[in-house]
Amino acid sequence: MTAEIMGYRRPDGRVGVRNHVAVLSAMDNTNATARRIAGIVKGTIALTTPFGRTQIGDDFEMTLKTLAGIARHPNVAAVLVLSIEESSATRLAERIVDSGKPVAVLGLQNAGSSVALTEKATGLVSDMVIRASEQSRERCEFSELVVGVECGGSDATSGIVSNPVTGLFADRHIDAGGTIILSEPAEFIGAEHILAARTPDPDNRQRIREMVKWFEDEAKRWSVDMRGTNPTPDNIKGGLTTLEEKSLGAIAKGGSRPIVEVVDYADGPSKKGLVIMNTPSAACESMTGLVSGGAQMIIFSTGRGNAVGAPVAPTIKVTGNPHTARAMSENIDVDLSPVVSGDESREEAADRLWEDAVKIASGKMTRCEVLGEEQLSVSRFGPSV
Amino acid sequence: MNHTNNESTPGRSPNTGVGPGEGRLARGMSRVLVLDDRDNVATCMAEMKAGDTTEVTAQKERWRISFHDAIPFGHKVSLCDIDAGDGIVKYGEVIGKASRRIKAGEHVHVHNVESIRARGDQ
Repeated sequence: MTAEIMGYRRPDGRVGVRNHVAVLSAMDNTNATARRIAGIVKGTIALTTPFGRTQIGDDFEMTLKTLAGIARHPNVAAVLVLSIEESSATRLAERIVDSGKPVAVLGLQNAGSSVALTEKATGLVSDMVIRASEQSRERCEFSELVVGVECGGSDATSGIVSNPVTGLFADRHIDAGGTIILSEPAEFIGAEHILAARTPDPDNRQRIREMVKWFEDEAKRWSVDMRGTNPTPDNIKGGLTTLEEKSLGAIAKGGSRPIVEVVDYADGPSKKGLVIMNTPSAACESMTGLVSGGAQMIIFSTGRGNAVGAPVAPTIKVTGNPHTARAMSENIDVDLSPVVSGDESREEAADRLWEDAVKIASGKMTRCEVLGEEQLSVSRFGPSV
Repeated sequence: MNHTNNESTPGRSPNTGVGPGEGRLARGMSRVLVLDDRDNVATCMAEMKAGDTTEVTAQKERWRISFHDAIPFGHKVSLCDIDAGDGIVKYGEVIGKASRRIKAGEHVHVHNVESIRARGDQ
């Protein structure tokens, strides 16, 4: 099944479903200025990060790669990069310019003060917003999109309703020629044999096993009983007893199609179909990786309730838990609980999710977008020095 | 005799399917849901009270569950007696092991089940 959407065709060929002008802070100390600028100029969003100074090695590379991936993202029309000094802003901007979009840099020390930086930036991003607003949406295929599937605040209904319904959506999107990214290998623990059996390429199969083993070994290395951490207290309250049980429910959101590629955190897929990304299980860190890897939209399945969304990419919140659907209606885009009450089959619920996702791709806003529920969290793998 | 439609083959998705059965709500889900025929637990899709009874199909047999405990929405009930150390099976997969003997109709959760995987404490 294919669907036409109205999207923004970007210079790199990818399709944007939003037209943000981003004020990207390359490090912690210019976050406040980025937020101030975004508060002044309509049509801009602040992208901030709690680190970025004195990071080294692979850990720093991961931060630069992830921030650049989000700035290069097709939902972003233009970017202003801020940093304490212009050179560190330029270092990040150099990784963004070949996407073909307008990129500018400003440094706090070059401007003089954060007020002077705000003043300089305000005029600059105002021009960017006006230029971006001249771009119009054009006909694109929904199947051109990369969709990330995420779950958070899981309970028993996640594995029975919202994740399988998301999985039906994933199968349909892949069958139409699209790409789905499933992440969080710590939550494959106990279910990795099922994913491995769906992975024809032996190297990819091995990588999935190694990713899972790495997370399991970390739990052992710290001599921790994972219970209470994963499953989390809210998972346990919602009826999930073990990590294995949570994992078997979690992988259902990836659907049932073969795994065609395995990518590292924040890397973009090169193939179409079902892709696995190596991310931590914390939803904000995971979604940041998915978006940096190019996911234009996220479907976020929750059981007990979780309100947060991804930066830049519209995040569609779904739940199959009737209590959550009622208590959290202001945060839920698609209520899947009619499956539990018996008013709807999972296939019918997946049809509704599909229809809403197509509308959202063409500009309908999500609950996360109107409430500003978004958090950028880049994974760290080493200390700042 | 009813059958749940969950033939299992390697490489399939975990069975989150719903078969026909008694106690079934309108067109959709049973109040007490067996997700795979190999399962020895069922998930309560409604709050259950101690003393409630229902019937489900699993392991090619019909099971009459007499609820020993009150069970919250989304939590699991045992279909049969499960010995300490035996696997708890949901979605047709082992999700943990019984940390003590569990009787049929008991609430199955963290007080009587433990994870096998990622146990840094052992």
